[in-house]
Amino acid sequence: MRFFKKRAKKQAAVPVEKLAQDSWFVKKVARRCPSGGFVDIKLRQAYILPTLKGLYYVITLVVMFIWSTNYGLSLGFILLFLALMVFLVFAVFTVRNISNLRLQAVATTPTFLNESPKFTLRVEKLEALDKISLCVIRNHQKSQLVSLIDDKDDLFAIPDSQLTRGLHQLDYVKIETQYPLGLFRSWFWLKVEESLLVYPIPKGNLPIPLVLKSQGHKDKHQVNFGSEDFFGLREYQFGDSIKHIVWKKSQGEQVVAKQFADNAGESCELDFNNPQLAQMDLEEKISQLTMWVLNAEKQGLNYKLVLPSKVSGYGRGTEHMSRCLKELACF
Amino acid sequence: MFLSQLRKLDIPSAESLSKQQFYQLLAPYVLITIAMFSVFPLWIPLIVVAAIGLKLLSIHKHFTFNRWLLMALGVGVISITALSFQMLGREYTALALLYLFSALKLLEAKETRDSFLLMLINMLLTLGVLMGNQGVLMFLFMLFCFVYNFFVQLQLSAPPGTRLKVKGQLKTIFKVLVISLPFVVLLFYFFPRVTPLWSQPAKPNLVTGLSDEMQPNSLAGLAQSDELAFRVQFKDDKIPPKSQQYWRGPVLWRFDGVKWTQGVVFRKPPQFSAKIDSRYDYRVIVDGATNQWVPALDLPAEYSPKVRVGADYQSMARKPITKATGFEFTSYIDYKDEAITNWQRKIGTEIPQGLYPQTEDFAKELYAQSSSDEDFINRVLDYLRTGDFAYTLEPYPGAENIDKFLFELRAGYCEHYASSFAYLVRSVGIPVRVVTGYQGGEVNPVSDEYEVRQLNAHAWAEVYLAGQGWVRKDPTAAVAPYRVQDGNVFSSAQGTESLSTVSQLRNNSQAFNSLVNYINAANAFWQNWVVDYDEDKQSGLLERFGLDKAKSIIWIIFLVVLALLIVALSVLFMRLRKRYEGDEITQLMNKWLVHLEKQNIHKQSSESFDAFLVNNKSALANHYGLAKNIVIAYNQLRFSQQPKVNEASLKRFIRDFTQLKDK
Repeated sequence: MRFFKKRAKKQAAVPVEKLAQDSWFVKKVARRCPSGGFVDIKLRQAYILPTLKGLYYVITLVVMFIWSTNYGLSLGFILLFLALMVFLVFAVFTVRNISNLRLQAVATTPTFLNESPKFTLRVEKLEALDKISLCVIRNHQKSQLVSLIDDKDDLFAIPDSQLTRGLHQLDYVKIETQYPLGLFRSWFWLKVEESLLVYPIPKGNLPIPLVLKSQGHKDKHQVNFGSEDFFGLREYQFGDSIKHIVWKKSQGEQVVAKQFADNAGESCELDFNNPQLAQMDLEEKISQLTMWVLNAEKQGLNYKLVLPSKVSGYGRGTEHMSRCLKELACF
Repeated sequence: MFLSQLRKLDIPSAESLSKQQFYQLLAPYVLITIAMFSVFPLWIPLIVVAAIGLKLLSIHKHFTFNRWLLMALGVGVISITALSFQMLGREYTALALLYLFSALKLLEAKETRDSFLLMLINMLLTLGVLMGNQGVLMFLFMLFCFVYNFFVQLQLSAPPGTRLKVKGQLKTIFKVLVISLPFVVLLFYFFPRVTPLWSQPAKPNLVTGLSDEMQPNSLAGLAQSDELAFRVQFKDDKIPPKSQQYWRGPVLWRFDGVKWTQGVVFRKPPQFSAKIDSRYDYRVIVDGATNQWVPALDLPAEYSPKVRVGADYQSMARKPITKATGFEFTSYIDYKDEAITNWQRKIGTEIPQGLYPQTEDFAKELYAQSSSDEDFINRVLDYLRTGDFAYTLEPYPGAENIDKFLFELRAGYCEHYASSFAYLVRSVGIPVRVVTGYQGGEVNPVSDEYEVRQLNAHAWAEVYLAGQGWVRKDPTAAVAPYRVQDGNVFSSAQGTESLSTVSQLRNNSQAFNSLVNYINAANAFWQNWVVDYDEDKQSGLLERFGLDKAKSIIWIIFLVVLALLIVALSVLFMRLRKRYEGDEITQLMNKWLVHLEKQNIHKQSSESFDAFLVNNKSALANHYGLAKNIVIAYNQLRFSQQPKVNEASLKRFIRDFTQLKDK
C-alpha cells in the first residue's frame, strides 16, 4: 500500500539524454586520440568534482561545524578539521588515481551485432602507483571497472546497447574514477578516432538463390571457378584435387595447381530485390542477405552481392566476404 | 520515512553487502557504542547493543527486517526518547534520537550506500560522545573510531579484487593522516572561531568550589578531594612564601551558632595601603565548571575586568565559568587595611547571645587578664596552641558545638578553629570576620604553574585591631603550624585514608610524584589549549603572533571561500538533480508527442519512432502521411551523416500536422 498515489511522471517522450557530442564544452576539452595512436594524461588534465556522496559528506561537515560551534565543542573542531582534510586528501587521491595514464586506441575486429560488439581502449599506467576502479563512459554507458594493480595495462571493453549495424566511431568517451570512497569523481574526455564495424545479425533460413547453368550467364566478365574449363594457375590449396597439380611448374615448397572455371550450379547472386525477400522489411532483408553471404562462403560458392546502390563482383574468400559484409553493414 | 527519503536522494553504485562486509561495518559502530555507555544512561546503549545482536543474527541466519517492523521500532524509539526528555535534556535527547535511529539504519542496512550513510552517522556520533566526555583518553578513543570508520569505508569501496589488500588500505589511511595532521592543527588554532549561532546549552551540572557559607563540614568534602581547584601563573616567577599564600574566597560576617554567612558583598572595596615590594602579578586560571568565586591572593589591588571585587576584597567572575578562564590580578601581601564601617563594627561583633556560655565566660575571663586587644588575641591563640588541640579531617561528632569543641573534643580542622576563634573574639566585642578560601599550593615543575587543589581549602579569621586595621589571624596555624607552612594538609592530617591512593602514592614516591606532575601539566595543556580553546583564546594567540589585525582578513578570506564553495555546490547540486531536456530536435519531437497524447495516441519510451508509426497506423488514420514525414525528417536529422532536411523543415512538418489535427 502506498500513502500517496505515485505522481504521474511526465515522461520525456523521447528519452534522449544529452550526449557528449552535444556539449560544446566536451568538444573543446576532449583530447584527440588518433586511430592507432595514444594519449598521455597528466595530473593537470583531469577534472574533479564532488559526487552526490561528497555532497552528503559536506552536509555532515556543516552539521559538525554548527554542532561544535554551538556547544563550544573544541574537540569537535578537531574531528571536523580532520574530516575536512580527509575530504580534501581524498580529492587529491582521486585525481591522482586517474592521472599518469596512457590511453591507446586499439583496432577492433568487426563483430556481428548479435555477438555484443564492444569498443576497446587500452589503458596503461605510467607510474608505479596503483590505479583502481577506472571506467570508461560512452553515451552514459559504463564499461566494467578496470584496476591496474599488479598489471601495468589492461583493456576497457566499452559497451553500447544502442549499437546498430554499421561503422561506428568510438568518438567521445569519458574516463572516470570515483575511487576512494566515491566522494569525488575525477574524469577526462577523449575523442578516440577508432571505429568499430558491426555486421548485421545473420538471420533467415531461405535457401541461397543459386544461378543455374541452364539459365545462362549474361555477364561474361564474371567467371565462376569450377572444375570444367581451364582458367589459369594458382597456388595449391588444401582441398584441390591432386590431379590438378601442375608438377612441372611446382618448385620446392610451392605447389601450383590448375584452376578451372565453372559457370554453372556453384555460383549465386545475392540480390536485395530478390522476389523471395519482397515481403520482408529492410532489416530482415539485410539479415537474410548476411546469412546468405556467410553460407555461400561456407559452401565455397562464388557469390555476388547486389544492393540497390552497389553491386559487388563475383568472388569468394575471406576478403570478399568481409567486403560484402561491410557493404551490408553500412547499407 | 526519514530513511526512505534519504534513499530517494539516490546515492549511486549500490551493491549488496556481503557477510564479511557487514562485520567490517559493525566494528566501528560497536566501538562507538562502548563509548556511548559513558554518555547515556545504561538503557540507551543497551537498546543499541540489542540491535547489533539482532543484526548479527540476521546476517548469520540470512533474514532481513520487515519495513513495518522497523517503522514500529522507530515510533517506539521516538516515544521512549520523548518520555525521557526531562531526564536527558534537549541536546542529549537529540543525540539519543540520532543514536537510536542509527541502530535502525544498521538493522535496515543491506547495500554499500547504507554503509556510507552509516559512516556519516558514525562521524556525528563520535562528536556526540565527545559532548559528554572530553578526557584525553576518550578523545583518543573517538579519534581512533573516527579514523577506523574511514578505513572500513575504504575497504568497502575497494573493487572486489583488491578488497583483501588490507595492507594497501592501511597505507592509504596512514598517508591521509600524515598529510592531514599538520593542517588539522593549523586549522584548529587559526580557523576563525565564532560565537555560538544560537543559545548555548544548559550550564554544566557539576559545580564544585567554594560555598557562599561555612559550617563545620562544608569544606570537608573539598578538603578530601585532590582535584585541581585552580592554577596560577606568577609573573616573572615571583612567588610569595608559602605562609603568605592565602587565596581569598567568600568573606563571612553573620553567625547563627552553627553557620557562617556573608554580609554585604557587592560594594566597592575600600582603599588600603601596602608595601610596594610585596607586589605580585599573576593569573588565576579556573578550569571550568565551578561557581563564580575566583580566589585571589590577599589582598588584590588590581584585577581583570572579568571579575568584580566585593566589599571585603572577595572576587567573583562576572559571568558563570563554564570553561577554563584566566583572570589577571595584582596583589600586595604586605598591606594595611584600616577601613571599617559602623555597620561592620556592629555585625562583626554579633553572636547569638548565650548559645555557648562556657566559651563566652572563658573569653571574658581571658580578656580581663589581657592588657590590650592584641594581647587578648595572642592569649587565645596561645590557648589553642598549648591546649592539646589536634588537627584532623575527621572530627568527632558534635564538634560544631563550640563549647564542646573547645573544652571537650579538642579535635577538628580549619573550620572549627576559625569558627571558634571568631566566636571567642566576638564574645569580647572585637570585630572579626571569617574568610574562606585556599591556602598553599604546589608548583608543577613541568608546566611551571602553581596548582591549588581542593584539599587546600581553608578558613581563617581577620580581626580588626585599632591602629592596625584588619589583621589576618589563622587559628589553624596555631594548632598545626605545618598545615600552613607546608601548605600541605595530607602530610600531617589524620584521616589520610580518605585521600585517594594517588595522593598517598604521591607522598611516598618521588618518581611517581614527578609522573603525576607530567600528567597534570599535560592535563592543564589539554584543558587550556585543546578542550577550552575558543574565540577568546584564539584572539590571544593571534595577538601573540602579531596577527590580531589579520583576523578580519582571515575572516574575509574564509567567508569568500565559503561563499564560493556554497555557490559551486548548489550549482552542482542543481545540475545533479536536473534532468536534461534534450536538444532542439528532441524538444520539437516532445512537443509533437505531447500533442499526440492529447489525441490519445501514446508512444512507449522503448519504441523507436518507426515502430511507433507502424503500431499506430490505424490511430493516425489519414494523418499517417504527415506523421511519416515527421519521422523521416527526424531520422534524417538524428542519424544521417548528411541530413537532407534541416530543423526548420521538421518544425514545419510538425506544424502542418498539429494544424491539420485541430481542424
